[in-house]
Order: sequence, then structure tokens, then C-alpha cells
Amino acid sequence: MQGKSGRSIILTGATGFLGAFLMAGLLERGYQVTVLGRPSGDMRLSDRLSHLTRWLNIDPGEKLSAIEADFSKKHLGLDDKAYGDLCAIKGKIIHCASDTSFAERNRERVMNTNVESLSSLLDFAADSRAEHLYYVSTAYACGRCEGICMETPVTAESFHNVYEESKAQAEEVIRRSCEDSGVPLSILRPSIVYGHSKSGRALKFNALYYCVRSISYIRDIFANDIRQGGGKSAKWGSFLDDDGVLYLPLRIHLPNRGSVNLIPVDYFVETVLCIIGHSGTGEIYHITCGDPPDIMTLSEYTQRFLGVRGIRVLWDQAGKITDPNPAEELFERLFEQYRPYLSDNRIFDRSRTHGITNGVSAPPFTYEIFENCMSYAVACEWGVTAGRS
Amino acid sequence: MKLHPVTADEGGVLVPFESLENALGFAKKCSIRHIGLAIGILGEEFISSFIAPTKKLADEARVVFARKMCMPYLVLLIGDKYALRSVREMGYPVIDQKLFKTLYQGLPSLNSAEWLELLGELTDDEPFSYLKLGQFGELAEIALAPSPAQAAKDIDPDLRPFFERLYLRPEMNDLVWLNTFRIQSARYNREKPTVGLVVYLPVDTSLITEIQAGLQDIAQRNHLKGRLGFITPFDNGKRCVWEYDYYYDHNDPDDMVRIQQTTHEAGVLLDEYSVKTGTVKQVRYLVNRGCCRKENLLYT
Repeated sequence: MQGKSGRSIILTGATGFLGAFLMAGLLERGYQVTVLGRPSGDMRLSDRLSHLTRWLNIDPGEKLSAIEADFSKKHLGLDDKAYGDLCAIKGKIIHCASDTSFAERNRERVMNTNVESLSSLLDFAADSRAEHLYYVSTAYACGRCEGICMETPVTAESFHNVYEESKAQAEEVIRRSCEDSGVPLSILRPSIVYGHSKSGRALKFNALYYCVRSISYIRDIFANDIRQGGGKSAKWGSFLDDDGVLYLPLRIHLPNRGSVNLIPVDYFVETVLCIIGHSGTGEIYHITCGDPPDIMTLSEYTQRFLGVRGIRVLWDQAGKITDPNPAEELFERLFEQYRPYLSDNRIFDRSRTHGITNGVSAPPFTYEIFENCMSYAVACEWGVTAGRS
Repeated sequence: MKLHPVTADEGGVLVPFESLENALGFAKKCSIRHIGLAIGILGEEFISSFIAPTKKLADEARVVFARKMCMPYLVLLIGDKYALRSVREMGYPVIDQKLFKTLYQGLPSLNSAEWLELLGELTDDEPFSYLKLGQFGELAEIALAPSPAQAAKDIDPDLRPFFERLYLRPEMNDLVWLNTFRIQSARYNREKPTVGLVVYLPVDTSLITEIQAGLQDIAQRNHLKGRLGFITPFDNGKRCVWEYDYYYDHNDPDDMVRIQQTTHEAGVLLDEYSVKTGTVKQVRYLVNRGCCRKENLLYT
């Protein structure tokens, strides 16, 4: 089971969005990938991976193996022999698994998954004398801050949500552990990741997708009412143009002008592959967009894609929309959790990432990319059928 | 049966919950504080029976409420205006009478309402907080286009005009009237007959969950469907009446054998809990003595 030095990867989170695409990228580059993960219901981990590799159009052959592991248990829940065999692989570890819930009421679960369960993985990294540990964090581990965010350890004490907080804590826990054990560490901090920039394919449809989907469903509510002669839409100023475009008065309130830092999953994978081919340690990499789109651009894309007009963005540090209509009230509620990321005026320093990728940046977020990604999302019912081979 | 004066301001609300534990907590709190005249925790079977005029719509309503909207439990609370105000002041999001009418008369549109999935996925810190939006009811009206004709849409064409006239009557979507005249109960067995096990026991989530798991296990072993019916607290929130139902086909001889075996095993299980806890009592041992007051049932 022992692989050639530098060519064996132990990957967690491979059944998630980033992990799955990363697994595909690693296999395509000829890495021997061992996935640590859980079964899901009656489905064993190996079956989950088989479904995913078919969906990803890759034939991993003997290059991919699956080990069912429980990160909450000592030795990853494996018996002595299995644990010994795993330690003997002596590869690089990429820890991609995480709970991405923002909700405070899920605090215990998020902290357990993202912080508490690290100890078993870190013990494994030390026991196996891992060549390198790569931790997939988030650019937003920087918490509530302004200005330029450097590729340095987190200093923030205040966060927008429990997810950010857990990732910041995890970075610190991992950093200290790796210092003690001598395992080389790199921290990878992607911003908001959307689907593949060319095919539009994705496995998870939150953040930008959730906002577009929300507007799409609100559009359908009003458009159906108008088509069925319900008459209530007119009361709220909504009507259908002669060309079938829905006028939907929807004011979106944001505290300040800013941008949305989006990167496609293929750029994330390419950058990670560059980083793991590099031998540095103790380094933090921002995998972010150097020229992120603003909300006005996204609003324009959304209206064009959905066949609506009437969406307006209002900038107000403290205020709220006065006399919201039912659509505005619902949309405000739905996108509340994403508000801090939709008018971001922080700049993520990318010097180290830039240096290692020879200046390759995320592609500009054009309408064509937006349309590809959203068309794919609609085709797979915003995730209901995503990942099915 | 307990008689009480009826005031002109009686109304009803449905309070949604994601878990039985939270639903019991709310029902108990109201019972301790004497808020409301009637409180019942409805499981997904009772919810769908309560709201749907046909079996097909009941099946769809079950999916919509329990899966899409993530509300497998609803607490029905009937009370005067002060009681209903208290529930709001306690901070719970509610389905009020107006929204209930919208859901009831717009039920055929509910299953295809994709926007409901968004609400179910909303991972904010307060479940169902969207029900507190001032204009959520208005939005639901735009989306579901509720009307007597809409409510009767899935009924056989020859009966439809009659039901459209029937659903014009305000009583048909009045939570108080539907409860008072036991419309829900009348609808409950339209899927299949049920054998309801009615038990008196403390309002204790872990005990109820444990016994329910045992009853469910018996149902599975005997290949019958078993579900929570309802729970209603009384005696200042100390105890409750809990109904758990087994479904069977009375025209199927095999099902008849299965239901006999199931009720026998369930009876043994409940007797074991009676002995073990000293606080769990089956209604069949109490009602048959001719008692009629809840207090007598309790302390006999």
C-alpha cells in the first residue's frame, strides 16, 4: 500500500463539493489517493466514491482506495492493523472535510466536526510521519476585519458566524499540533467556490446559487399569479412585459458597496495541485479572486438569466428597506446569512498563491460562466439530482 | 369530558416544531401556565388528515409538512384572544387562522410549491422564523391561490360543485370548528382502519420516545405501519394522553392476523412499562371502569 514519495495522498471530505473535484484532479495527475470518510446510510464509502467517479467521468482503476474512518474516535476508529497499514502509506494528507453550516443553533455540531474531531486526524498525521498536511480552511477565517487580509495566521476575535469561527480555531489547533509533531503544514484558504467554469458542473448549490434560486422561485410565484389572473401581483407592482419578462420590484439592501469573492472549482483544484507540488511549509495561501464581481454585476446577470427586471440594490450602513413588499421581505430573510459576503470590501492578499501559481488567476466571472453554472444548477434541480451518475 | 364556558373570541393556532422534544416542551409550558383551552401535539399523520379533504392530498400534505417544510410536529392550540396573544409573546412562530385557511384552500398547489423547499433549507437560528414575516401570509396567498374551487380541485368531478359550495363555508377552515366537531378524527381512518393505543403517562420526552421506539419496532416486525397519533397534556403539564396508532387492512385476513399479534405484543410492552415505572397506564384499564372525568382516570 506504500506509495512513491510525494505521489500518495490521503484525502478527507472527498464526497463533498471541493473534495470530489480535488479527488478527480489528483487522480488525473496520477496520484494514488486514499480517501478517509464515512458511509452514508446503507451506502458504503466505496460505493459513494464509485458513484462520484462515474459522475466525474474518471476511471480511477487501482489509484483510488476507500477507508471508512470515524474522526471522533482514537486511531480514526480503525483497529490496530488497519491503522498500522494506513500509517504505512506515508503520504501527504489533505483535510478537506468540514461542516459548512452557518447557523448558531448548529454550533455544537459544527465545532465537533471542524475542531474537536481534528485530534484523531492530527494524531494520525504525527503517527504516520505524514510528508505534509494541507488543511482546507476558508478565506473568511479572517473573521470581521477590514482592509487587506494577509496570508498570515488569524488574529480576529469576532466572526460573522460559527463556521468562520470554527475554521479559525481549527487553523490554530492544527498549526500548534504540527509545530509539536514536526509535520509540515500548509493552510489553503479558498473564498466562495462555484461550479466548473467551463462545464458549470457542481455538487453543492449554496451561497450565490441559493440567492439566484430564491429569486427564481419568487419570480415563479408572481409570474404564475399573473398568468392565472390572480391579480395580487399587480397590487405589489409586479407585471409581465409583452416580451414575457417579469417586472419584479425587489430592493436588496446591503450595508456598503463591495464585491463577492467567487472562484470556480477548477481554479481551486489547479491551485491546490500547484501548492501540493511545492515543498514549502508553514504557509498560508489565499485561493481567491483578484478581481471579484460586485453585486450590481451579479444582479444584472441574475435578471438576464431569470428573465426578470426590477431588482435594485440599495446601499445603507444601518438602514433597512422601508415598507417591504412580500417578495422583498422573504428574500431579505433568505439571503440574510450571506449578506456579509455580498458586499465585501476586504482585499485578500494573494502574494504567496500568486508566486506559486506563476500568476495564474481565477477567470473573470463573465455572464457566460454564470449562465453555464446556473443552467447546470437548474438542470439538476438546484442539487436534487446533482452527483448522480 | 370537562365542560367550560365558551367565549366569543376563541381561535386556534398551529405551532410547528422540528422535534417531538420541543413540541412537548411547548405543550407542557402552556399546560403549566394554563394557556389555552385545548392543546394537542399532532404527528405527521394527524397533520395531514387534519388539513386535507382527500386521501391523495393527505399523502401530499404529509410530504410537504414533514419533509419540505421540516415540520413533522404541529401543536394545535385552541384558546381565547389572551391565550393566543400569550403564544405570540412566548416568541413562537405560528400558523394562524388566516394562514391556515390559505394552506387549507391552497393545498393542491402546495405540493408543487418549490419555494417551500427554500424555507425548509433555511439554516437560520430560529426554525420557522419566516412565519413571523409580516407579509408571509400575503405571499402564501399569491403563491397558492387559495379558493374553495382550488381546495376541491382534486375531488371527483361529479362531486366537485358540492364540495366547492361546502368549502365556501367558513367553518370548513376554522381551526376551532374543525376541532370541536372532530372533523379531523372523522378523516383519520380514510387511509386504513387503525388500532389506537391510548396511554396515560408523564410528559417525559425520553420515556415517550423510548416507548414509541418499542411500539414502532413491533410494527416493523409484524409488517404493519405504526405512527404517533397525538399527545395532549393535562393536569398542569404533569401528565398527558398519548395515542399511538397501528394501521391495518380489515379486508386482508393476513393483516388481521398481524394486527392481533401486534396489539398483543404492544399490550405486553405497555404493561411492562406500567410495572417498571408505576406511572404509565393504558386507557383500557381505566375507561372500562366507567370513569368519565380525566381526574378520575388519572388517579384511579
